Amino acid sequence: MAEEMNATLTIPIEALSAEAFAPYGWTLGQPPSPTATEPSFSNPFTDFWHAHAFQTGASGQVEFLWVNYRDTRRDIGVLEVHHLTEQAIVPLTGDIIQVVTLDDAPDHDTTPSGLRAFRVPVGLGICMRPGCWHTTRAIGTAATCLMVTRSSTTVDLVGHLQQGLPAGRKLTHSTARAFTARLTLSDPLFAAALADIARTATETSMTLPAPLILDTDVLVIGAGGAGMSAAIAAAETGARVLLADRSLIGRGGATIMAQMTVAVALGEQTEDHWTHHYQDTLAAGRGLCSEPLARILCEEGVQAIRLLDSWGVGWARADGHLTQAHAPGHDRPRCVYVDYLNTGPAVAKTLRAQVAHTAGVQRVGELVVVDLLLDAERVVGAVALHLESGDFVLVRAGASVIATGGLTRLYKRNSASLNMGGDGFALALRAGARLLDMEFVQFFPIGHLAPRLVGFDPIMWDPFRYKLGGKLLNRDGVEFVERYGNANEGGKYTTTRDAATYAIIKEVEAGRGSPAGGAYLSFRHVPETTLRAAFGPIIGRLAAAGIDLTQQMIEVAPIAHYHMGGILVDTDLATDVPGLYAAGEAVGGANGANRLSGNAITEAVAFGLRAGRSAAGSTATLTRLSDQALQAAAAPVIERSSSPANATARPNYAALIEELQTIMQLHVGPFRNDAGIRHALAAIATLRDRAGPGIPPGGAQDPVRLDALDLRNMLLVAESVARAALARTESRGAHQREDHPAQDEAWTLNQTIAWRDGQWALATQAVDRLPTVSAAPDVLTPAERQA
Amino acid sequence: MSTNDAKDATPITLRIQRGVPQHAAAVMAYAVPAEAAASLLDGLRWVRTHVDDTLAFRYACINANACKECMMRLDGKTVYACTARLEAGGDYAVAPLPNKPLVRDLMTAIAPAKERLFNGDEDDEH
Ligand SMILES: Cc1cc2nc3c(=O)[nH]c(=O)nc-3n(C[C@H](O)[C@H](O)[C@H](O)COP(=O)(O)OP(=O)(O)OC[C@H]3O[C@@H](n4cnc5c(N)ncnc54)[C@H](O)[C@@H]3O)c2cc1C
Ligand code: FES
Repeated sequence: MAEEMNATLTIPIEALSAEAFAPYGWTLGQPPSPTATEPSFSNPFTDFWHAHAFQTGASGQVEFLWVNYRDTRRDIGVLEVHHLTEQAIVPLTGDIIQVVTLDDAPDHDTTPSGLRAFRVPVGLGICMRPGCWHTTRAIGTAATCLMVTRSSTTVDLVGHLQQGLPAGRKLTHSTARAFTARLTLSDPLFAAALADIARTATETSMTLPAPLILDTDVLVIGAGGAGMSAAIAAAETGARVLLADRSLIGRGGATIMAQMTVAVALGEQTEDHWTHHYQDTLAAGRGLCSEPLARILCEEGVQAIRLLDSWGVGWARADGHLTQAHAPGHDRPRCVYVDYLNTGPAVAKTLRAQVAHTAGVQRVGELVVVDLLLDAERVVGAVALHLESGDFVLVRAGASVIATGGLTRLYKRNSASLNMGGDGFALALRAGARLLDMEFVQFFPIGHLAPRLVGFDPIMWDPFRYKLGGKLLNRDGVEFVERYGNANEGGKYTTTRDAATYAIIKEVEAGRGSPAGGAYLSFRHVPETTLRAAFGPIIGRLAAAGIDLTQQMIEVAPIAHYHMGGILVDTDLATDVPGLYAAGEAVGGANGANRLSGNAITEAVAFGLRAGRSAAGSTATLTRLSDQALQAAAAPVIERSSSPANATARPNYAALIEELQTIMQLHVGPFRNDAGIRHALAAIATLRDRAGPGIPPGGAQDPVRLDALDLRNMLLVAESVARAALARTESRGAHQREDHPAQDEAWTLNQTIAWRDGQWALATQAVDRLPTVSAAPDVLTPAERQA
Repeated sequence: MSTNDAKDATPITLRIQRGVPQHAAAVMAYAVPAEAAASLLDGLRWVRTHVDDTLAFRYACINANACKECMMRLDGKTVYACTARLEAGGDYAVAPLPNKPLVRDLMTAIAPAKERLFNGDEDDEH
């Protein structure tokens, strides 16, 4: 700044006083002088006194304007003046600096002399005389002010600002050089103002109105299947619950998007027992399932899914029992569903209604949790950004449950919602919790790619292939899976998911992909009657969307669909940070290296119920942090999350997010290798530099600010996936390394990753086993013992 | 072998009503490549990554038409942005829902009062 000093005129900032301001006008709000003759009144409840009698100076109405001053620049380049009317400014939300002069400069380019600057604090105001040249500056952040003026003056000003024409009230513009005054730094008052700016940045609203503090026993972060279940279970123990979601309650995540099935051993369709489901789950997980967690999923899943039934979810029924479909990977028909393709919406709606009926749950949508707050290494609450108002809010909680779902938004091709960038993993990492097996992202081989199709589950082609076969073709219309060591499909669906994913990716790499970069899937050889018999209503909906399967092929490609890895928890769903729990897709371990279809909704509800109970049970004896201690804990978080970034220099965060998605898809996607992952790690570091440390401040539902917060989380979480993928030098389940194509028994280990003091720490640990579950006769039903 | 016929490349024009409650609304026009805007939501998202990331609109599920958060007005009709199809060369007026309080640009306050931080007294649930 010093380099420009020689050309600048510095203006000291003065405290506002009636005497000092008298040449320019009147101060408002200072106590009446003892000699005042105007009426005033004072009693213990109220004081009022005359401040000023406003004059418009001409015909025209007095007008109240609401003004947001956002100009925090120190250069003064433009002044304005009103020749007839007085004008009053009363700061409401933050102090302002009013720059004034009476020097009516003869021409526009001359620097006016006699400039003075007054700091007008909240609680006072000023009223300028006609002919007082002026401009207003905010201090560090926007200030909302009440302005009183004459309305025709405003019309005139707006016309001037919109058309850039000289206004009738004569606005003076000067060139920057001839007229560049600077507010001095050396002035103690301005130094104090600068300190305020710094303080505002570090403590944000603490110098402005202190952030709202919400008190609760249990904070549940995320209102999907897991979060809503946790809220209900916690409240049923008598705890007060705050259920927060960054989107609208029950609508933001994967739960409402699920269209297929829910796996659970109800034994309605055929005889079944949770131990069979458990065996199938372990088999799919290829040796990496945490057996205690898989057991909870399968065993408690039964009550959980029956509970949903009792709440009226409407599982499909026939012949007096629930209908259970036989999905791949299960040894028998086990999967309930809600017709037609309505499983997720029905589950979400049922839970949302149930939460509403449960006393003690406060539901707050549009509340994005930005960071957890720690005190003495315990999670004691959170800082959240209330999107609806743009304000930070503090939550003081006895225990917190992360139920934020998965991370598939990290990938370019995904089935994710906007809210699935993996916030919960970032929250856990920054709170010091360990994550487990982050390298296991499930890719769905034939996700819908093109033509653009909305209102359908992007994984819908799987059931089509099960029922109708279909042909996977390359750009030239040639079947290609057998090029990669698979049997010719002969119109059937015989290629396994891993193999299909591999074949499609390799065919695209060889330049034989479909136009959108995947493979064609064709049902053109299937007679229309067969299509309609299998998928009647859907064929109609597809036709309405412009897709006639008898004529047209679609394009498919592997898409990120689910995350097996996640936050490390014990069987209470407690993380390794006291006060912090996790539930649902955010949890790692239950599904090991690959997830059985239908397990995720069961996991969400069963884990949610259990986590809610555990979290509520842990809060009873706690002493709560004082407001001050909470605010002190929050200050650095708010600083990190609202440091004013230079608006002109900031990047387009949304575009950077797309770049990250492309990098993750290419290099840490369904197939990985050492060089690619290293390349991704370097690219993530570059993106982080380009994003910069700032998170721009913003108002209600400011999308730029949310992008910046999302990008920060997504970079951290992407890095945890990449680092874990780099370390696991084998191929297993969803983690396929081209440079280590075989499964390695030495790697039958879970991998943990933590981020502490800015350093990554990876470790391996033995998989949690249960000795005897499958063999124990006492866990079998009588029917099974006979079988 | 193409699944799609040769595409009309004429850009789509979106005339979007913008603004926050305290200020007068302004309409801003954006030209969007036709192939980037099969749906209105795709077009709006393209604007954010390529032209103007300050544009605010509400959505969550993108593909599933499940969240029902993306309601807005397209040429005076209420639509889901994610299922509203756009034609190459088309010129469209996009506005927030007229019967809900405006939050920013195309975003309106659609959450039930009981699911908001500062809620009213009404019991909207049942
Ligand atoms: C298209 C699709 C189809 C699927 N089909 C099936 C199926 O047929 N069967 C099956 O079993 N599984 C299926 N799955 C998987 C299953 O839906 C999910 O694993 C499961 O619903 C996850 O539930 P959850 O509650 O853990 O997370 P979600 O339902 O994703 O909920 C997480 C919530 O957290 C909120 N949130 C995120 N970050 C924050 C934050 N910082 N602050 C506040 N709130 C936050 C989100 O807005 C969201 O509402 C499918 C998934 C997808 C995407
Ligand atoms: S984005 Fe979810 S319904 Fe349109």
